[in-house]
Amino acid sequence: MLRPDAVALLSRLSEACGLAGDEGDVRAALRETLEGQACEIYTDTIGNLICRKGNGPVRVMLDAHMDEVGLVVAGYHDSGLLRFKESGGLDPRVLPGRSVLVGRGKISGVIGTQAVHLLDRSERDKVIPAKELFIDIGARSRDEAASVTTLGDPVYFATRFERLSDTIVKGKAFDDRVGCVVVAHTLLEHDYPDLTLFGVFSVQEEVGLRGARVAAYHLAPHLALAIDGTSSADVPGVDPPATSSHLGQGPVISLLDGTIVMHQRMREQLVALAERHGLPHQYRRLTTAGTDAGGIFLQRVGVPACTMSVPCRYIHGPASLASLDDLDNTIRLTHLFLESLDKGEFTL
Amino acid sequence: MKDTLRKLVTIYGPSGREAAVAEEITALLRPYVDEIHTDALGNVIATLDGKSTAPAPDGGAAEGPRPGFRVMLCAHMDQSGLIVTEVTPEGLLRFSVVGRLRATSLPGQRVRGLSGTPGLVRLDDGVEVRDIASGKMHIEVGASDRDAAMAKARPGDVFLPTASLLDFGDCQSSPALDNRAGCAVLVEVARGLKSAASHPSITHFVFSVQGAVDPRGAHPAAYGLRPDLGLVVDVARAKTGGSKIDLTLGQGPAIRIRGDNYIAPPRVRDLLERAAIEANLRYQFEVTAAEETASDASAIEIAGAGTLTGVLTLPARGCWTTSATVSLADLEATATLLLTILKAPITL
Repeated sequence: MLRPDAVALLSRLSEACGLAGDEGDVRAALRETLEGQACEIYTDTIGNLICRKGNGPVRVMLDAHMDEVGLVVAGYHDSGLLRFKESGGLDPRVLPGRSVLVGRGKISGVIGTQAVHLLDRSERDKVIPAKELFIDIGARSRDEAASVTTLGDPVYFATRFERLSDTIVKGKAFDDRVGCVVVAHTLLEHDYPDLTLFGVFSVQEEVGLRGARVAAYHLAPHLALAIDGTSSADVPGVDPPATSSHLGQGPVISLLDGTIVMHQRMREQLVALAERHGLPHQYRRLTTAGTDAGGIFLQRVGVPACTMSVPCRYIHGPASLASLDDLDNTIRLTHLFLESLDKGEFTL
Repeated sequence: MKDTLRKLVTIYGPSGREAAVAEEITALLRPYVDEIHTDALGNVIATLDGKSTAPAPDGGAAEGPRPGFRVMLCAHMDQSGLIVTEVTPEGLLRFSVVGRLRATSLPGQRVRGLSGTPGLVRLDDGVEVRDIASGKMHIEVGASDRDAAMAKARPGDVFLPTASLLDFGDCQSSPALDNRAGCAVLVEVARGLKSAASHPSITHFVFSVQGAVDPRGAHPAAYGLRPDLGLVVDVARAKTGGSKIDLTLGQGPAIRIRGDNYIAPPRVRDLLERAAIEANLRYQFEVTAAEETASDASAIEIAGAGTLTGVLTLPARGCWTTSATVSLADLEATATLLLTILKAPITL
């Protein structure tokens, strides 16, 4: 079972706000957690938080991204309503009616739309495109709205972290705060004398795998493991082949995604370790989208890389669900992998 | 050329699983180069030092050829395939396309796994022609339940269209011609250079990984080599009637003017055209920038501090289907064109 402090960290990170380019709150929380824990810790030029542990000959990058999907303020209506744009890939079906927090002052607002009573029958069945929605912060005029917000202000879903049962938790931004917990936990708990372990909490993954590229370039690792949160569509109405992954069935090991065919031997090593130690695991059945591994593996003269994820339901939306058992098993498998590198049982 | 092509098209080498192709290419190339190795991602990188009968040029000259001019010739060595994502309770394999294969060309195709496991691609029951997509097909391996199927194939295994070379005389057809045709040209160039009296430039031969998916492996290879000039050989779709494609099979290599995410630098275009004229070769220009024109050039161009890069296209009918057709005469002419460039000092 997962340690209580890991759950507390997930709770804190889930409620921290970190749109691509505005990862400061998440970075601060992670820095506070890791400061003074036998790591060298610093923030690089574009905002990646780097924690180096150990001085061994094998340089390993263990990556999780800090940013989340959300909205940005993009303009004002005369009536004081805010126009917005999306930051990262969002599902427009889940936006209307959501409570949000706007700007650094975390002003409360609601994503508004026409009242359902005004729609005719055919309109009720349609998804309202994001550009026809607006954010209502209660301002009565353009000037009033502009006096408390600024163009480009980040907008976050106002979702509290909750424990729904012994194993299931609910919160926003599990993609990729679950990965941040895995990396932080690994740095706090373990020493790998033969590794130089770079825990990298990267910026701007959701808008193009940006931070991880920069980190991999300057850290020049020998190999990299990206830990992410991935979609789990094991709900009614989805054909089994389309579910991508299943909540509660363990770490999700990617074969490939839209940006990389995973390093075959690294992937096989993860599977072999899971089987040897009786850890549940699954393959990601979706082969599109991207992860930081795709940005990392082409840096310099090439970095063998692989992605492992924690399955999360309702990802890229206001609230997602994750299993603490999956999180725990992902932490375990990450450790087993690093340990096999450290002991020289696995080499490239 | 035909013998080389015959050897190369029968080797198993989907994107991300290029080791067997790398091994064969290394064996073919070794007699003609000074050094050859495989890098961290699996790219084969070979080097032939320059040899000149003329006195060494003045190294301090700002203009004209300079000592140590480095050319990187590049062809991707992987091929598109079908990766198993799930084994169903009925013993069928669900798959996803790695690389580029039109779904409409797949039903009925005979395929083979790494160890020769035979398979047959079939549409799911009741799928209409207009709904054909890789998610609505399966690979039949003659298993009636999951356990029987798992004994033959597991998630992560990649199946390829059954390897063969259909010999029409000058024209040759095979599933792997994208881009073993380009690899065969590079092998011929190495053979030709080794016996040439003069080849003043340092020539690197790169056989890149994952190029059938996107420009990938070529980027770290170019980063490490820092060439002065990149020259890519790849196939692209030749017209088969009614289309706006401007490539014609058998009319000689095409000098790519514009491609997906690529525009030929005028100096490189001129270099290629001058050589074609000097060698009295038939050639064509490619400007349509169809979707089949993604190549390693766009990765080599931006690696490191940037590299001037050209593309010679081999016209291929049926490119991105399960069998492409190329003309041996086009391949020979492409090798001759490259040899014409490399046997003389290069001026850009």
